[in-house]
Amino acid sequence: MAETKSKPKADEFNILITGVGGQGVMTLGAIIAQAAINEGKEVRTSELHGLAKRFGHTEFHLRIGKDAKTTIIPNKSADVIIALEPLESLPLIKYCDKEKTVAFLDSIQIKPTKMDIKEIPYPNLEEIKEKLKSHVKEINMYDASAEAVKQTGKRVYANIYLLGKMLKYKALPISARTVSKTIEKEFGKEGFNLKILDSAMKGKD
Amino acid sequence: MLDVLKPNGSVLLLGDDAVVRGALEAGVSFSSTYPGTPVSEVGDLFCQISKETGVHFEYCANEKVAAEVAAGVAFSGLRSIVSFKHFGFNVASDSIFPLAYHGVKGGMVIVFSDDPNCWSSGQSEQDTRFFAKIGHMPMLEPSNSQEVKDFTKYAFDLSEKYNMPVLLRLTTRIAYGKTMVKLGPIKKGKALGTGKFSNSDKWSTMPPKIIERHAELHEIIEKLEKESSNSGFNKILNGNKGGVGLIASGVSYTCCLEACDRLGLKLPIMKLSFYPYPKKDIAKFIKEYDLKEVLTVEEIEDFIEQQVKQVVAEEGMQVKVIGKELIQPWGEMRSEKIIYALGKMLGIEIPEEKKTPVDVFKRDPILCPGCPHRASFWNIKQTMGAEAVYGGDIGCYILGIFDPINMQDYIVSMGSGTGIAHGIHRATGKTVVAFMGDSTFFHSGLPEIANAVYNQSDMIIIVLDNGITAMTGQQPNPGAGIKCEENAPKLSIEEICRAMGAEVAVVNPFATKKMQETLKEMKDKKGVRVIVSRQPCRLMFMRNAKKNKIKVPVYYIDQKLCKKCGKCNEYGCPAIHYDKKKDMYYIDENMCWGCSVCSQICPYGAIKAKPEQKE
Repeated sequence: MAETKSKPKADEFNILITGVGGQGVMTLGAIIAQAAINEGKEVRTSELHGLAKRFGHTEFHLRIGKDAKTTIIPNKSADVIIALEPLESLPLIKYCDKEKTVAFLDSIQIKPTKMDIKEIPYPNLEEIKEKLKSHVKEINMYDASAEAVKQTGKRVYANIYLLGKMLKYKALPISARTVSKTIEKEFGKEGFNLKILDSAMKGKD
Repeated sequence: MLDVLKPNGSVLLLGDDAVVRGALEAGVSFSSTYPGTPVSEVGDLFCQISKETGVHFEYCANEKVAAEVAAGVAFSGLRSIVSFKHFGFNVASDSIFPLAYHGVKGGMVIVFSDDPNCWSSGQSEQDTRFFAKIGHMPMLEPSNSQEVKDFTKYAFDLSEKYNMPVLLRLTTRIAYGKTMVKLGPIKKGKALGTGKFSNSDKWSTMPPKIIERHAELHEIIEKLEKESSNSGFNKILNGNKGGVGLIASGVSYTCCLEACDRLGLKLPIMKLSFYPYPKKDIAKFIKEYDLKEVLTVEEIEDFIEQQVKQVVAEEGMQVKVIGKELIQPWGEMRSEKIIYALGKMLGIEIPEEKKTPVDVFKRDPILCPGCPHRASFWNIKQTMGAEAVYGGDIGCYILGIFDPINMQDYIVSMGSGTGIAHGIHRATGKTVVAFMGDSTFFHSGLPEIANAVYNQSDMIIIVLDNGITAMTGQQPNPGAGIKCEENAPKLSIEEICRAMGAEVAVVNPFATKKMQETLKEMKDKKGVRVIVSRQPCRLMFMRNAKKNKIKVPVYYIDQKLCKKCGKCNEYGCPAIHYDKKKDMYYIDENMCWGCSVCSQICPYGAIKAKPEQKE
């Protein structure tokens, strides 16, 4: 297979979200996609359902802009990668570009059962970051799950927390206002979503 | 309101959902399915909107039945749509192939999806396009959700114009890709009960009539080729003359666009979306662009390549057609594969992709915490031994092939576990333990068991009855007691097996001691023995518990009592972990779904339910 240096396109922004099946990868992808649509942008996504994701590695490809042609992000073309579980960021390396890819990681460690059975220790987070470092421009890691549990008692809001951090640092081509409006429309004003988004955007890192 | 039901505007739709919208715009009356990834969502969405839209929907016992029911509706003048995965087409093919001969009155659309790269398919990497040729039926192949919607709608008209079913072929990345769709008006379909079946010899075929009809079908195929040419579905993207051109279909077409963009090339591209492909148009494309070389771009086999080569040979053109020579017939299409092929053809230097730059720990899918299949596997391995021959089948329990369960020595197709078990018994004299799920039991297990009893086999059949078709997203089956959002007759697996003459026992896999006792008793008997291992799918159970605010216990390991024997870890539940540094076994509370099996496995009583429970 070939690898080519991606030519920068006028209108294309590629986001790759990963995690363990059940963590909220699809939900996060759907929110960002809908927010982009609400800003009048063209969106393409690709996901997998069924047996492929039962507590396994999950990927959601999201492409914003009219110059994107496929639903799958080509190699070396991700602008942002989001890993709701740090270990799962490593299979995404082929999509990363040292010059531009910004990574957002949750520090939560969900140990694969295979590691328990084979008594392989989960690598420490610095080790994972070290592996990723030479393939991306920037790594941002947050205790998103820990924060979510602290604030809501539930781990599932970690994805929204990470989204808040991305908006805080303007890592996405969508305004924070559109995202919170989208969340409000899809999930209602009540509940934890808007609160955790807000706390991530305003809180210290 | 669901996007798929909006009256107008542009929405982002999953390919599967776009099928449903297209059918609604065509005025469909009836939809049926047997669930299969990646098209399970077609049926599920029809089920969800059935009451609101008045389109009747049915989950069927298997794909053959689903196709037959849809055919009966179409015989009676109403529009019907049936969906299943590629393997489902194999099951249904026995009834589908004669349908072009018989003809239909109301439009009938058969939606199926291939799964290049086998994301959710364990049997083979099958290219089902060849069925269109065997079945003498037109086949439409969309490349994005807009085309899925438009082609589905058109397929109904086409079906009625030629009185034969029309195939709509998806692939995983089309079915599970989302692109923008401009909606058209929804049309109310004819109500059920208003269909008319006219008794005529039209619906029965026997020689010599069948051979006359076969001759007619070949004339129709020629007409359909003209229809394809005039449809506007096969498109040509302008490019430079005198060099290389591309011919592609479906998702491969979008990859061609991406590849040419990235290489900065302006090559002419022909998109083929309507089989039978228009030979004249293919020849015209090659001539008009004065092509010296053509790259055919398609997933899996060389379906398009062979037909383009045939056109070139018939026309005596001097053009080299390259396909599978440069783009391998396995795995799914990526723009990188096309970039590589074009690089070779055009002499552009493209650096070889480096192997995965870092060692990646592959996280395999795994049975859920608290999955009753894991408990069944455990109990069976304790009594039958690791060395017994275990016959596998299709369902979530496929995941039992992984560590630490390592059970199922062969997996072929739905229901096959039992048939093959009998063959192994005949050849070796061994007593095979064959698994099948409840959905598989009704899908194709029944004739397998009938055959085993009739031919006086010796085997133990374990029906892993979790009350639902779990793997494809929790669809009901005839044993579930429900159909699409309504109560339904609940067929009893044990009563059916007893009626067929098998020795039957029903067990609860979470009661490990009792289940193992029953297994031992059954092991000592002879003949066909069926053990129904019954416990609801834990994912379904947890969802219901959440909905109905039922508390589920959470288990923990009392470190004072734990002797670190590691027996709980051998069970392979994703909630149980081992911390090597601290030499400590522990349960992740967030992951525990409270099945209690680990507490029964622990020889020291160290695993206990927490006094407080989670909601």
